[in-house]
Amino acid sequence: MKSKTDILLLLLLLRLYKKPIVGRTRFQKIVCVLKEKFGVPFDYKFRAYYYGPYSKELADSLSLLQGTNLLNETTDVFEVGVVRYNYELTEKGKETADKIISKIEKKKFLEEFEKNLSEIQQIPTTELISLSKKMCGID
Amino acid sequence: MYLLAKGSNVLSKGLKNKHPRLMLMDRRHIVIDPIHGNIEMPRWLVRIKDEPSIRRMVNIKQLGLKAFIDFPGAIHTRYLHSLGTMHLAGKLIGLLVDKEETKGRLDLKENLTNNKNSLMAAGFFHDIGHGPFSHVLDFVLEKSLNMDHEEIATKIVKSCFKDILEEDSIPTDVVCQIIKAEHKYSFLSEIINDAMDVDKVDYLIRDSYFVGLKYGFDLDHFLRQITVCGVGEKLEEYKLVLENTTEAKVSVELFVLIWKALYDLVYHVESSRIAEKMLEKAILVAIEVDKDFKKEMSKLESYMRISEHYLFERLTQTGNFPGSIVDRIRRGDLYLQVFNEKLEVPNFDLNEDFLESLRKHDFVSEVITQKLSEPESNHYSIICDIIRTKVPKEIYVDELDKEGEPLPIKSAVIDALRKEELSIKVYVEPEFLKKEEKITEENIKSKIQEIVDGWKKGEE
Repeated sequence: MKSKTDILLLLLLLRLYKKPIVGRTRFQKIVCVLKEKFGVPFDYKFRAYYYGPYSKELADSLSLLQGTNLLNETTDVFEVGVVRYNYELTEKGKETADKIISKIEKKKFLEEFEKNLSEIQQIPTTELISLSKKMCGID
Repeated sequence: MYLLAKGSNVLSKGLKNKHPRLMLMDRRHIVIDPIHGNIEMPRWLVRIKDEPSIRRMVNIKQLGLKAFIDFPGAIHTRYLHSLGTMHLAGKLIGLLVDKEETKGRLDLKENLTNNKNSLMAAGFFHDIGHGPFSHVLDFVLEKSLNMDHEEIATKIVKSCFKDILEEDSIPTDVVCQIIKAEHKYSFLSEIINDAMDVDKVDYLIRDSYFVGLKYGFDLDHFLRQITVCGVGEKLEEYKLVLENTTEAKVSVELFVLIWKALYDLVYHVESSRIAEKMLEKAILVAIEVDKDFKKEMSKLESYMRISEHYLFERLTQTGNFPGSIVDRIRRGDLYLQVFNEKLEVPNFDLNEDFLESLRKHDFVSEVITQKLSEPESNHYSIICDIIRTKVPKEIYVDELDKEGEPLPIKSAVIDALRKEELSIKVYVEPEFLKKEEKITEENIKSKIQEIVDGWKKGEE
């Protein structure tokens, strides 16, 4: 895969995750771990922030996908005052992602991507934060 | 207007022996500002206030062409906004330090106190890199100098004011880190550059006052709602947040609503926006056809000498198209908006390469402009403009969650403003529109879709 494919990889990630990604923090850490641990060629640069590594460019891409009506952000509000953001592709977003997937010739890359994602799905967010901090050398 | 404050010691003993410049150092300089009242200049600023790079800001209108087109009252300048931002930085630090008297975080209090002058300097210098007509030149700068105005500001601070600042124990590195939001203590950078920074506070109040929108906003009350959140020794983990109270929440909701209103009613208002894009294209053509102008624009030293008046005159001398655009703007004879749609699915079918490029939407709109204008060269009859609405950054409150991190604010009002929108607009030269029957909304839309379909990654 060539560089500058961040949006493409994000659409793949959202499609192959198969369920909503719960939490902005979790989203950031998933991308960080995919990049740093599994070598998925995201171009985003992460820096130390609240809740571990954070990429401003990644947040901007999510905003762009919402702006173009490909991604839905919904919120859950809890009694204690915590707000949680959930991310899922819109129907049009899914169609766009499916088009991309059908064009990818390296099926092995897709299989590997899916495998990495199912591994990440098993990791609770707090552990994902620790793992991403470790992978980025932030403590 | 500068006044000598009461109690100035200009007539102090030994005056006769002092060099005139040193005499000036003894005076307290006060600037009268319609927004904040009396603003006292710190000593370092008194010494450099007449330097050309600073006087230049007196000639750059804060709202650029909006003063020519939609808001004749908006004649306020970058200079006054810079003074206001500096003043508010000092005021906010004072309030934060006062709060630490009761909160008792001595390290934090000391850090804020020690960095007060650096923060005030960052507040003053944060916009010194702006070109004539303020944001009109943003895209041109990125193209010709490959820098944004914050990077230019830090270059100017380092190359022109290092000695003067450091004589007053203000480290230029710290000032630059704050301007670029890169200081290791993020709560310091956040005072100048974040969700509720003093830059925004000043420009919201100042811009609404000068354009004539009489929004009510209690500045002092708002500043009192800001605090620093954090515990323990690691100041790196501290953050500028809001007090966790209802009055703080309501206050910041008002702030964000005014911010949003100004974007919708002023910053992105149609006629001014068209004029700004016309001027941008005139500059791009001038750079293309006039080598000397290109040199002026691509070197920082000469770029810093370009005033608004000079730019208009220079463009008038530079080829037909730039001159005609300046003439049109002066007469208020603007291009006409013929197309306006949300840039989203299903209005358009957007492929991944286009979406990737869209992160730099100004470059994308320039490519589409050129493709729509073909085959004419050095003359833009058609201008494409992509506008991304601004969404508020995350705001946190002074409460830690179980992980020890500050909690984001819970506000339905702010959440409702967080959805970004992209729109794509097309402006056409009136004479061209008259003679070209093909310019219909339907044709423009299908042409844009054709361009998007053939988009190659990196094309921007």
